[in-house]
Amino acid sequence: MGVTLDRVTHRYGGTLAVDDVSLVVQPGELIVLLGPSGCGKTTLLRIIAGLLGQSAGRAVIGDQVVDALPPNERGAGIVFQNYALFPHMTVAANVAYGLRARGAGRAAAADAVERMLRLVRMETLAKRYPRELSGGQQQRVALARTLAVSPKVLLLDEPFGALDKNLRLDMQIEVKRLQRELDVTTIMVTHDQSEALSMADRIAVMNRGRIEQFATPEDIYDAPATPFVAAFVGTTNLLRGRLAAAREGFRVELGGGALWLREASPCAGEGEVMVVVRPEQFRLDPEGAEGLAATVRMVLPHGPFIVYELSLADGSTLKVTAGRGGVAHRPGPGDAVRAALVPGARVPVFPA
Amino acid sequence: MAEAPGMPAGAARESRGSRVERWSFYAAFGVLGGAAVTLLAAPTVIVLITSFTSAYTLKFPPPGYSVRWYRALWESSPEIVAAAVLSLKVAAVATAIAVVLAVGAALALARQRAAWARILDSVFMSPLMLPLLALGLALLVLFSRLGVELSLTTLVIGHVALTAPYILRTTTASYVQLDPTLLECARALGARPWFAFRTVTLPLVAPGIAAGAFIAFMASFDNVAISLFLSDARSEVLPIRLWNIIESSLDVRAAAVSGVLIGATAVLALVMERIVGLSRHVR
Amino acid sequence: MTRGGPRPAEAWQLALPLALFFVVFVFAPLGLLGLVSAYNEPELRTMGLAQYAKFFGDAFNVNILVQTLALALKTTLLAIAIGYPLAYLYTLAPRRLQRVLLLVIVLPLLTSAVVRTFAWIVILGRLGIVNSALQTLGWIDAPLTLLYTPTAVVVALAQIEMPLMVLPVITALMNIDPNLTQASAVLGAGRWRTFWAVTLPLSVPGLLAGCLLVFAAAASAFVTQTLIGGGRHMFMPVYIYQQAIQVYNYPFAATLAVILLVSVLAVVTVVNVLGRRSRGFVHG
Ligand SMILES: Nc1ncnc2c1ncn2[C@@H]1O[C@H](COP(=O)(O)OP(=O)(O)O)[C@@H](O)[C@H]1O
Ligand SMILES: [Mg+2]
Repeated sequence: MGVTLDRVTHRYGGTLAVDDVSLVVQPGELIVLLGPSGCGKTTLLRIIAGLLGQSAGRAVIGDQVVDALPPNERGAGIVFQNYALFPHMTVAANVAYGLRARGAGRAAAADAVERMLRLVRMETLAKRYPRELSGGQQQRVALARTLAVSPKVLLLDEPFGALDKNLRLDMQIEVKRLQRELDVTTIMVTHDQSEALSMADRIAVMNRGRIEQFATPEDIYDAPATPFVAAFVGTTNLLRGRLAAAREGFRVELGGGALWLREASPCAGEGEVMVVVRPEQFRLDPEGAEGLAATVRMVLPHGPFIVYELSLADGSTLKVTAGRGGVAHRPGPGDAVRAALVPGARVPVFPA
Repeated sequence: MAEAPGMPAGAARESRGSRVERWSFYAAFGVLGGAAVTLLAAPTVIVLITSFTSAYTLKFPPPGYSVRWYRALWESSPEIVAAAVLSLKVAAVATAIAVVLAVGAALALARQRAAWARILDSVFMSPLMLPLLALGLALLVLFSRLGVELSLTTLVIGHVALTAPYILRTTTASYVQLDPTLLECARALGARPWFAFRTVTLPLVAPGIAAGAFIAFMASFDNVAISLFLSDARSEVLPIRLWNIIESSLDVRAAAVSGVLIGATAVLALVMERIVGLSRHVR
Repeated sequence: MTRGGPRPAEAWQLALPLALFFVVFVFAPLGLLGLVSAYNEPELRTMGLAQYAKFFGDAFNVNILVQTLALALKTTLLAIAIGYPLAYLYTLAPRRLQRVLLLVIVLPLLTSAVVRTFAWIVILGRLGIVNSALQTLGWIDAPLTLLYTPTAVVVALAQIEMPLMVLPVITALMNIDPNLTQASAVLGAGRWRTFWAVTLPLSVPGLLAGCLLVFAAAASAFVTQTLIGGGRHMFMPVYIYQQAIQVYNYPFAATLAVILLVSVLAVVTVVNVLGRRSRGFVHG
């Protein structure tokens, strides 16, 4: 079942937490609300779950406007950031809770509990109490508990925030597997862009209560709609410059040098602009004449690739990544180099 | 493991002044605190020992030991037993009523930040600060103005006012610590408010309520200031009976009654500590 | 508007029964008490301030009030002197010992005050442990009169009400960020300096809360005052009891009660105001 938000706004007293958000989520889709802490993600999720009444706008689940429904009649399952497992109940009782609340008998609930625990691979720990579980296990129980009531929509609030790095990856795969297996419409909240990029069918990037861009991970990464999206997703260089039309495209003067672009979008007018170049869209050329003249300030080996921090002629800094192998002569701090665009790089240009 | 190269031969020592300073600090607090613990516990222990005296006086240390005064209490002191029964009855009824009233108030006020809620809360807690004697007299005046005869009911009413704050305090503290997302979670899982209250709120707050009820019960059982004014001529509660005995005759049975009360209190407190973690709720 | 818990509109209704109870059985009677104190004679015929004039016109009466407040003040100070080190010792103790200590502190609070007063009679009596110890040591020949003295009342009350002082102080001490005392130590302060300059000031809110409880309890400790103080040392609570139950002079008893109530409330209010200042100071 899909979810539609229509011009939803929420204020806490005077503070605007969610500002005129409209969003259409397709049935079976996994979308991620991505944004910095405090941008209104949790608020939006709680509005959908019915835990919070929005100040304005409508929420639709399936083909029903649900604004008048209390949480227990919405069919939205929510997994909280801190899992919110009932501390006085066993794992089995936690998972059975939703079914019991709906009046299911002991036997029926027990069946469902068994099925759910098997689904999240926790069947051996049914008798444990939450405090006797690790973070990842608690997470699985919280998922099982929510999924046990067969929610029409699954809402996940920063589900992996409390897990350490290795466990996080396992749980991301697990959640994605469950979501596919059950084909449940899912809205997940995170402030971790790599998590969003790896898990989402589509990402809604939020900033200050607004949705800046709602698109596939590829588009979010390659064609950010705003400088905010560009800066928030992935590492990037935000470069101020002057755009001018040139032979076969455009020329941007910046950092005491110039770059040639085949196309300039979304802004094609001449004048002050902001150019967004990802570090991997530059290549270092020690001898060449093309690109921006720079001096290497620092070299940070980062596993499979190396990050160079350069300073340009006007003193501004530039990050560039290059593969580990290939370069016969690796520049060191103090070396003069040239940073040129990789051929075919799509570089967004925004009005400054 | 190989020793790290370049290690100095000796280790630096703490200076003498610093050692004296540290030592004097812990010695001072150890001695003073230890003395306080002794002072806190010793009188009770002394009464307990005295209650097993074989003599007719409260001489300490007792010249000999026996359980004669306990036997005297059990066999030939019907008025004391009656007073104890009355006290138990009053404390039980007053605590039960106070639990209903105070738990409701705690649920209403615990999460409210508004000024009216804070004020109401301190109003409800005020019997802990007021001279209860004044409240006892005030209630006596009220009942006599209204033409209400003193009875078990009037006594219980006075005791509800004095017990409610204890229950309000512990219940509020437990409820504030209850993670609100647990309730939201219950609601989102399909629980109606009453079901969520019964299955999540109540079980998690229950230890606080129980601890408060226990403290309230003991406070009621021990109360003199209010009972002094509100019990009718026939019904005398245990602490007043005991007060009378001590004031008039220094009867050694008073030591036996004390012994029973001390033992019962200690046992009940330990049981409550086990079940609900009493001491956590007192702070 | 939150839909998770009870909505504010429903929530306050749960406080109604207790509020109603307090209006009828606490405020109405206290108001009535004030009213009764404003009658000139025990038969409640004419209204006026005769009772108050009588109270403040007679040095005997005023002295009883002063003695009562002085008793409460001395008791409070003694309770601080004994209770504070105990509270601090608690924070130094290892966890297991803390549980035991807390029980030792809480148990007396739950034990009948009559019983604990009786304990002091046993201790201070002519045949009590103090006299027998002094006699065994040969320091005295005949037993001393320790009971029925003002000092005995202060000592007994301080011991009896001490838990009321210790518990809030423990709470305050436990709430102090350990980084603060550690910072003090790293900056070169010794244990004593750290205690006086950091720990003690930060525990002031708990100390004040404890003072309030002890003061109020000591001022109205009918049982201990009568049993340890004996007949010769009169304090306000006994006086109220006598006037009401033995003399049937309700207006005067009510006046005494109002005066005691107002005195205690005044102290509580002043200390509360101080407390709010100190809390502001603690939380920056
Ligand atoms: N209960 C509340 N009362 C007042 N303001 C709140 C409340 N909850 C959140 N806010 C504010 O609303 C904004 C959005 O909060 P939230 O939705 O929790 O953000 P996120 O989940 O994206 O970190 C923040 O500025 C936050 O301070
Ligand atoms: Mg959040």
